[in-house]
Amino acid sequence: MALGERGEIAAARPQLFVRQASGLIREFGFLDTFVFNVIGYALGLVLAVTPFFAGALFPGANIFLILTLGLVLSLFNGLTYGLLGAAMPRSGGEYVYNGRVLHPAIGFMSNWGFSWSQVLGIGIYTQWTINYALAVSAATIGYATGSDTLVDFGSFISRPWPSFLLGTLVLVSVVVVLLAGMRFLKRFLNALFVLAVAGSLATLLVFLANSRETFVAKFNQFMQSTQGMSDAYASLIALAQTNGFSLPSESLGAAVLALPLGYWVFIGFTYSAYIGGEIKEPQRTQTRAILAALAFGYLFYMAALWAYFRVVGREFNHAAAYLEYNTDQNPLPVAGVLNFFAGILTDNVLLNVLIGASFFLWHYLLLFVMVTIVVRNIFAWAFDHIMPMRLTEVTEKSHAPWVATIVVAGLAWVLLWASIFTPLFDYVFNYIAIFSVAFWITSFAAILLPYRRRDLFEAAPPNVRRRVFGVPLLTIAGTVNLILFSLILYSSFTLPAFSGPVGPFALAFLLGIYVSGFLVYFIAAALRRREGIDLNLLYGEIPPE
Amino acid sequence: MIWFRKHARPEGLGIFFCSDVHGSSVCFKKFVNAATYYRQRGHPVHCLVLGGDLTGKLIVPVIREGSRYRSYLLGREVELSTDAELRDFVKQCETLGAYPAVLTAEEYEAFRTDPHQRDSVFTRLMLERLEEWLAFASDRLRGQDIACYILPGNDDIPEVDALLAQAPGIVNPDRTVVRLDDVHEMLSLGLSNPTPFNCPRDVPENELARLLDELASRVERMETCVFTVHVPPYNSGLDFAPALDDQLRPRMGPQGVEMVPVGSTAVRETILTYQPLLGLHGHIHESKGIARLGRTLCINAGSEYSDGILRGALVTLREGRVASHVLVSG
Repeated sequence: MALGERGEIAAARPQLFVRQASGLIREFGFLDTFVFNVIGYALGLVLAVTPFFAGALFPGANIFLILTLGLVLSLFNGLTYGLLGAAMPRSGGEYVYNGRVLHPAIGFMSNWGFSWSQVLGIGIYTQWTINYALAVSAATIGYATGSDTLVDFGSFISRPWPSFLLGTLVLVSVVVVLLAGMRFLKRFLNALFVLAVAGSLATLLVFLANSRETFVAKFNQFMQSTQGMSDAYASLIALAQTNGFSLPSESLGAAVLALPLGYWVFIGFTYSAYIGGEIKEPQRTQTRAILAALAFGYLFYMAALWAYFRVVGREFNHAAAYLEYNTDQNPLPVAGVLNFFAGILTDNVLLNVLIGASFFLWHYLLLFVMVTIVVRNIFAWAFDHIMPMRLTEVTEKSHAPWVATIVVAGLAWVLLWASIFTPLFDYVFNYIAIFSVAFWITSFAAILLPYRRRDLFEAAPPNVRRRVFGVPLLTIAGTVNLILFSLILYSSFTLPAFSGPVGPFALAFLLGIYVSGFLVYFIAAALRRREGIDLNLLYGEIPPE
Repeated sequence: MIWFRKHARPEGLGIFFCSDVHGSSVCFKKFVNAATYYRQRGHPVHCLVLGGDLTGKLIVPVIREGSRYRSYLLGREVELSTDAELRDFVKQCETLGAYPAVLTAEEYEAFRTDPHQRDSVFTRLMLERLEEWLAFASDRLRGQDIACYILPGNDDIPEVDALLAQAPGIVNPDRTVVRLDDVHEMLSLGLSNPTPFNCPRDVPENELARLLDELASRVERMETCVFTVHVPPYNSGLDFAPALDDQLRPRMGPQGVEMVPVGSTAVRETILTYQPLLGLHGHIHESKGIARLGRTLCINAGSEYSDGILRGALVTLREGRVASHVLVSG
C-alpha cells in the first residue's frame, strides 16, 4: 500500500499522514467558497441601486455608517452561520442546523420560508432583469451612442406585456441552461461572471478617473441634449427642493434605522452554508470564507461609493433619489442607478456597453444562484420524504434535476406574472421580513446547540467550542444575531418603502408561509407514516455506546 | 453459497444499511446499536448491513515532549498538557475516523521519513481498531435476533478479511450470496472499479463484470434478491463525485465543485441485466440518494463519518417487494 502526504503543513507542526484511499477530495477550498459567497450578494447589482436607496429612503443616514453598521450586524450573522456550518458541515443551511438542534419540523419550516423568499425573489428579480436592468442598460447605451432605437427599446420593454414576455424568455433561458448540465452551465456562468465583474471594475475606474466638475459638465451636457434641460445639475437639486426636499444632516439614529439596507447589501455572503457538504476543512474554511466575503464586499462598497459620492455629490444624489421615489417630476430619462451616471461620464461606446451589460448580468446571474439554492433545498426535502420523490428525478444525459428546476421556474413564472399584472406583491411581499424570519429562528439553533446537542458541540472543532467568559461563542453569536434580526424585523415592518408592504396582508402572508411549512411537514409525516416511514427517525440520534 | 436459512416475517424484513464508516468508532458503534434503536421506535430491523470501507485514512501523530503532547488536527496545532486532554483528543480522533499515534520526537522523525514504517503503523492501527470494533459488535449482538453483515470495501486492506472471518456473530458476505430469510437473498461484492487513488480492492471493470455474473448465477430468485455492492452503478445519480485535475484536486465551477459520474459500468450493466429487487451501495460519500434502474431500486446511503454522523438507509422488504425505504442520519 502506498502512502501519500497532504496538508502542506509547516515543518514545525506535526504532519497528518493520509493513506491512498478514495473519497479524499471534499475540497471546495477557501478561495472557491469565498467566490461563491461574493456571487451570492451580486456585488454589481447592489452597487448600482444602493445610492438611490440610501438617498431616498435613508437620507439622514451616512452611507458609510450604514455599511459599517451593516458589517457589524452581518459579522454576527456570518459568525452564526459560519460556526454552525463548522459544527455541522452539511449542505442545507438552516434545514440542517435547525433540524438537528431544534426539531426537524422547525428545520423544514425555516428552510421552507427561506426558500419561498427566494422563489418570490426570483419572480421579482426576473421582472427587474427586464424592466430595470435591461431597460436602463439599453437606454443608457442608447443615449451614449445617440441611438434612438435603443432608447425606445428601453422604454418599450418597461411596459407590462413586453416585460412579461421577455421575463418569460429569461426564465426559459435559465431552465435551458440549468438542464444542459453542469459542464455547460459552468462555461456559461464563468464567461458571464467575468464580464459582470469587469463591468463593475470599469464602473469604479470611471468614477475614480473623474472629478465633480467633470461630472457636472457632462451631466449638464447630457441633460441638455436629451431632455432639453439647462444647467441640469443645479436645476435638479432646485426642483427637488421645490418639491419639498431638503438635505438632512446625518445622524447615528438614522443610520441605525437604515439597518435593513446595511444588511441587504450583504445578503448572500453566507450562501456557502447551503453547500457546506462540499467544503474542504469546513471546520475553519466555512467561517473564514464567509467573513472574508463580508470584508471584501464591505471594502469594495466603501471604495466604490466613496468614489461615486465624491464625483456625483451627496446633495445631488439624494435630490435625484427624492424626485424619483417621491414625485412624478423626475427629469432623469432612466432609473438613477450608479452605472447610469458612470455611463454619462464616458463617451467610450465599448465601455458603456460593458457597464450596461454588467448591470444586466448581475441581475441575470443572480437568478441562477437563487434557482440553484431552491432546487438544492427541494432535493433535500424530497430525499427526506417530506416532498414527493419525483422531485429528485434528474435527466438521463446531463443529470440535471429537471423536475425540481421546472417546478421552481414554473412557480417563478406565475409570480412574475403576478408581480407585473397584479398588485399582489404591493400588498404581501416583504422580502426582508420573509427571509429574516429564517435567520432569526436559526439564532436559537446557535444559542442552544452547546446545551441541546452536547455531542455535536463537544465533537466540534476548537473554534466552535471557544468560550468567552465561560459562555460558548456560538451562544453569544446566536444571541446577538437574535437581537439584530429582531431589530431587522422591526425595521422591515416600519420601513415599507424599502422592505415592502407592512399591512395585515403582508403579515398574514409572512405567517402563512411559515405556518404552511409546519403544516406541510406534519402532513408529509402523517402520509409517510402510513407508508411505514417515520420522519421522526430521519435525524434520530443513535447512541454510540 | 447459502449461509443462513431464516423464515419470512409477517411484518417484513427490516434492513439497516450503511457504508463507509472509515475508522470512525462513533459511527461503527451507532451501526451496531441501530437495530435496537429503531426497533424501540417501532421500526423492526432484522439485518444490519455495513457495505464496506471500514478502515480509516488518516494518522494523527501526537508528539510526546516531556509531560506535554503536541499534535495537529482540523487545521489547528494542538497542545495537550494533561492526560485528560490527551484522552479527549484521542476520542476526537476516533470520532473523525483518524488514528492517533503517540510518538517521541525521534520516533516521529523516523515515522515521517520512512514510508515502510508508516505502512506498517497504518496497518497495525487499522487492524487494532477493527478488532476492537468487532469485539464490541459480537458482545453487543450476542443473543439477539439480529443478523450482522459486514463486508470490506475497496479501501480496506486484505488483512481485514481474516479479522471479519474470526468475529463471532458477524458474517462477511463479500463475494457470496447469502439468504436473508425464506424470500430474500443477498449478493455482496466489496470491490470497486479503478479509482484515481489505486485502492487495495480496485479492479478493472471487466473483472467486476465477471465476478458479478458469476455471483448472479448463484441467485435462486433474482426478483427478490438484494445486491449489496460497494460501488454504485455508473451514471445513476448515486455516483457523482468531484471531477479531478492532474493534482487530484477538484475542478471548480461557479456553482461549486464540478461533479461527474464515477460509478461502475459493470455494476450498472449487471443490475440492468438481472434486475434484482434492491441495490445497496456506498463508496461515493457525497452522492447519497435513491434511484431506479429499471425495476431495481438503488440506494446510496452516503457517508458523514468524519462528523460522527451515521448515514444509513432503513428498508423494509415484504412479500418480495420494497415496502418502505428511507434515508436516515443518526
